Amino acid sequence: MAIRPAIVGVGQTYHRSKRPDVNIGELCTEAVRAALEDAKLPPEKIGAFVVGNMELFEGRYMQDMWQADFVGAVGKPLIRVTTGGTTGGTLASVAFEHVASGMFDLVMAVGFEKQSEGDTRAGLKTVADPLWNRWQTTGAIGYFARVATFYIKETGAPEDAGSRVRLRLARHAARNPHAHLRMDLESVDQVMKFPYLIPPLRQSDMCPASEGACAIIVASEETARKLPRKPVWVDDWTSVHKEMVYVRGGRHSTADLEMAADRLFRRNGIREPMKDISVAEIYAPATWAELEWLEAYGFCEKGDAWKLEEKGQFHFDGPFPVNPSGGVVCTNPIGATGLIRVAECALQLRGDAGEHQITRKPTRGFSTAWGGSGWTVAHLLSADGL
Amino acid sequence: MEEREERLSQERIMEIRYRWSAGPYLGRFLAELRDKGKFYVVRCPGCERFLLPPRIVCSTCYTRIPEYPDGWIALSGRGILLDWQRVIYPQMDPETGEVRDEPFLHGTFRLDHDLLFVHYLGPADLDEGRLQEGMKVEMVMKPQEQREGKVTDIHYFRIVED
Repeated sequence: MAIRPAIVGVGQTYHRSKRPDVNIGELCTEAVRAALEDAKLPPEKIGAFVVGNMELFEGRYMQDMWQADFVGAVGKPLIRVTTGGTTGGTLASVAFEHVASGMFDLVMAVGFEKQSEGDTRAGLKTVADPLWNRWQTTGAIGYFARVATFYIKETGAPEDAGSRVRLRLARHAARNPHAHLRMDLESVDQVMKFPYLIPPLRQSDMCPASEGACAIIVASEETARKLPRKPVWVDDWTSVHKEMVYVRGGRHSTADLEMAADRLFRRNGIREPMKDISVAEIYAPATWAELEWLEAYGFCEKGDAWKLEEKGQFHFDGPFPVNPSGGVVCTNPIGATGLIRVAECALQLRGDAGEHQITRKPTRGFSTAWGGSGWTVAHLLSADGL
Repeated sequence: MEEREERLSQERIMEIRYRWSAGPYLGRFLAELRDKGKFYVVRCPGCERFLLPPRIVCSTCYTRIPEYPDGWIALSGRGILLDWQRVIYPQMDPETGEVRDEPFLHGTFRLDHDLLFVHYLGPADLDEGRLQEGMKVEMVMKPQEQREGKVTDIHYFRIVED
């Protein structure tokens, strides 16, 4: 890597299922302003922008043209990234690449979603080939019901394993002022009362449809050292695509998650991920996926995640905090979701996460984005002075 | 009474027409299904795996796949049930946009050459209590006059006795 990038500012909006008080541009300004304030930078210092959201959701062609006016990019380089569920993760990766290339010193990435303006379910269903298998798509719920079914079958996890994940994440979200679903849940039994969508998947196992935006500011090492915030170093990032177009509904596989984590860990000398990494903000849109994917990333053995969950291993004040923000099952403004994972990791590594700050010493962070049932983007960050 | 600020928004419904080309591979697959009830796969000459449906290149070894009939093999239409999903929440039909309220079952079937395929389970097999992994299934086509050159020209898969 030519130039080492650092995250020098993050900002996000609060999240709700509807934000009728603002339009898309106004929503983005909230995150942009928060990131600039966090970095203590005036808008004119930003040299380039990367913006993104989901295709089709809000029904606007050239969303990037619309957004330029509202993120402060008029007259400057700006590109739109729209890679489905991974959009937010790719936004971060592309901003890192802008800086790593040496062409830009300060780059801002902005992701948003305003799901109530369009039809998320209709948008997601267009993922499948219209002449092959679009007719049979059951959206995210159908996919994650399969994840739950396979996880139970392959690991012997009890049917309440997903509900335990929800309970942990609800507790985390309750401490995070930016989280969307801040459910007052006290017991697994209480979570188990939520109705089934597709058994064994319950309503409480799935993410909400959220509206909100997130922005991060990335700087070159030289610039980052001159700025007031403690920089969060970006050590590495990658993305993996699995064969998907004609195999949807076929053999269940987590190959993309495994390859992405394995590549990053190998390249960075991480041999014991749960020891070497102090916090994970992973993009898991369902509780069961969080369990299955912690195993796929190699944090624990296959079939162990639900047992570690029962022991409280993944709590924000536990030995290996996972999604201390409350994660995707509490907040999912899709085009921003992957970027929120990066931003939340950065806050943890800076020690600035407030009420949901992990108690373990923050050293390295792992953030991911996932989408399309077979794409993974992953980032490895580290705290300053490590 | 306190005056509430109006939060103005406007709604439009947009109907957009699409027409997608099937190409010579998927197109031939669908035409054979429609006209003869035959379910074709093709073997990749590079890595020798079977591709369902047939396509122009193998996505893993990037070998060019021959057009019909070179290397194309019709499957028997029989297989075994691997798992199933009972879809009970109101589901939008991606073909029409209409919401279907009634529950239905999707099955995953293992066909010849270990190929996996997802389709409906038939009306006689909706009793989940009777379903077991490993049951034998067979493909049931729609009557000739109802076929449209779509994957749903297959009506469903039904459980067959040994």
